[in-house]
Amino acid sequence: MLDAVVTATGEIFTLSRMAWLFGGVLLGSVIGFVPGIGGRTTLAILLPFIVKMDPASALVLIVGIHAIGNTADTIPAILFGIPGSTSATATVMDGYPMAKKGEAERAMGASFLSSGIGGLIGAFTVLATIPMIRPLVLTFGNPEFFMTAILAIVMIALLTGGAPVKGLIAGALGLLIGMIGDAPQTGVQRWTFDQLYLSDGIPLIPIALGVFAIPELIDMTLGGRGTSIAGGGPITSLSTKWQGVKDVAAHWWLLVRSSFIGSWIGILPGIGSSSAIWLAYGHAVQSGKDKDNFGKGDVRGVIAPEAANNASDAGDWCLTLAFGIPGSATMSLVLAAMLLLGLTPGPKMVTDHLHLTLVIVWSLVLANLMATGLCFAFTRQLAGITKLPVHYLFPVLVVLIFLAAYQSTADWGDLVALLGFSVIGVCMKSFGWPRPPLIVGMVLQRLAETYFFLTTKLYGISWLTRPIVILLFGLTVWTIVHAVRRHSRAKARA
Amino acid sequence: MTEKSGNKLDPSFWLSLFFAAVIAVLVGTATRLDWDTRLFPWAIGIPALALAVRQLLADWRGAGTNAEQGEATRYAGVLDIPVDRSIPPEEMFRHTVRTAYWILTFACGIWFLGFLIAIPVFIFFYLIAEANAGKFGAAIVAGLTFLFVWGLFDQLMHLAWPEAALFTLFRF
Repeated sequence: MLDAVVTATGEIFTLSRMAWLFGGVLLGSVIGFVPGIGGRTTLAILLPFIVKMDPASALVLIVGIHAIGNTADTIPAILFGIPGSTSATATVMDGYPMAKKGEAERAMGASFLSSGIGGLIGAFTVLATIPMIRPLVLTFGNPEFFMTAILAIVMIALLTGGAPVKGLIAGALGLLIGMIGDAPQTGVQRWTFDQLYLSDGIPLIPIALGVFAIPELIDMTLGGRGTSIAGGGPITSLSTKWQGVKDVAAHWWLLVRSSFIGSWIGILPGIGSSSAIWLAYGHAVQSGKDKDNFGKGDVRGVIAPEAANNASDAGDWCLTLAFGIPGSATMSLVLAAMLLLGLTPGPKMVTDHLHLTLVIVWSLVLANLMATGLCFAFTRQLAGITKLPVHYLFPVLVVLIFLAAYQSTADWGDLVALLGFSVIGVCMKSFGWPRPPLIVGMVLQRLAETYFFLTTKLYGISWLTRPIVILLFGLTVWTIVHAVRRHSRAKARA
Repeated sequence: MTEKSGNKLDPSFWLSLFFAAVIAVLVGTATRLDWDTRLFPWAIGIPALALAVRQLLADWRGAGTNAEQGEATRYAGVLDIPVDRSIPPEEMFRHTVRTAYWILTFACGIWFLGFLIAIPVFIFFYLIAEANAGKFGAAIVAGLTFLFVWGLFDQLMHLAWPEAALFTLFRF
């Protein structure tokens, strides 16, 4: 192990490797800033070039591109309420209201630092758990994965004390919409109504943009000509990025907890950062003493999902390297790149090629530092965008949203889905229906259904007696009871 | 607006009705599927339908009492980015329709002209009409956005653009 650490350290700290790493971070930040593009598309573009490089340099470049993705996608989420990717949807909830209050710089400062520290905690967690990762993951079987997915959906659905039933309906609707297309276990077409576009299911990006971005865009121009996102007031000294840093320091324990949630979720196959962010956000809301400000611009609502987001990346890498199981679509591309480079992910990556695994861990640490530094350096300039007249931003953002939606599958259906879900998003927002459970339901549908099918086929009814299942089931029931009691108390007070 | 006993229904009722109908259709049509394919849709859909009907009834029964409350009270406690309830609903509706008009115009522009032409045209006319921008300024913003989109999506990503109706249907 020690030899591998020394070799890996020697391999990463060379001028060329550091240049590749910084190049990856820079490229990822420029392209990752555009909503809907992110690290996956950048990797896809670069794949033909990467395969001609030496494995260590190629891995370093891949990590650089990938690591910045989850940091840069926060920028449009905070500035315009447009999630740069599905991993930034939770940040919209409090990041965008902060920008509307003139606190974009503070939100970004907190977000970038949380992302950086979350990424570091994730990388070190992976490093520490490499020897025991296999038994750790194997404690989770199909029933435990299924219950984790259900707990995540219930937790997000019931985050809202004001409308628990609406939250549960929205979560279930997300699951049902996610079921459109091929059934994962039988391959039978479900609810496609003879439409070719629906046979693969509706992609998540047009739905997330329709439900979240378009309603915010409509609200953005409400103030009339000459107004800005941040309103007429000045960006005060309190709203600087350094205030964001102080916020992170003040909520360091939340940051650590959220990072561990992200790391653990990242290690579990198929769940990924899109769910980790909501679990961390839900944890921040449920564990917070003062819950009233969540959704209105509470910095804790930025810190928790951002830390979990980057921390889950490390777990995702670990899963791909040690098991050869990509935890997300981006990691599928990483897996493809590694195979093209002649590296076979699996147990040998932690035995024969341990130094390369450690190169990746080192790269993750350094890339997170570089990404945080790079984003941090331009925070003020980025925050300045919130002072531009909204009527100049509106058409450009509409164009970017349409392009982000269309590039999902390059089909007219993407634009129809975007417009349809925009109407649903506007109505949900206006009539007090929580939107996050709809997205979380969609994100977790395939995982939940696959594990539900395997669980019922393999274990019959006996899966309900497994200790971790009982624990997760108890947590789910507790979440429901807690939400209903809170709702009843609130109604009694009113 | 439909009325019940002289009291206006909560607008949320119509959304509840829509969601209940969607869930009912999905659960109903799932009966045609084999057991393994419909098991999960039913496991989720049937309880969801029960909840949707419960919500629908709550909205129906609450028609009178809800109308007496302000919107801010009615939708309090929902964890989401807050809506500015200080703006009268009629004004909010007009603004939403006006913004939706521009978004739909852009969508129609994509269909008719294709992405690459529709983008600068939409930006130019929107800035002139809504932002009160000068023609030169609008042309600069439209041109820069076009260059960015063309460079990234067309030249770098080689995105397959949809064919424009102008060139296919009308053989222009």
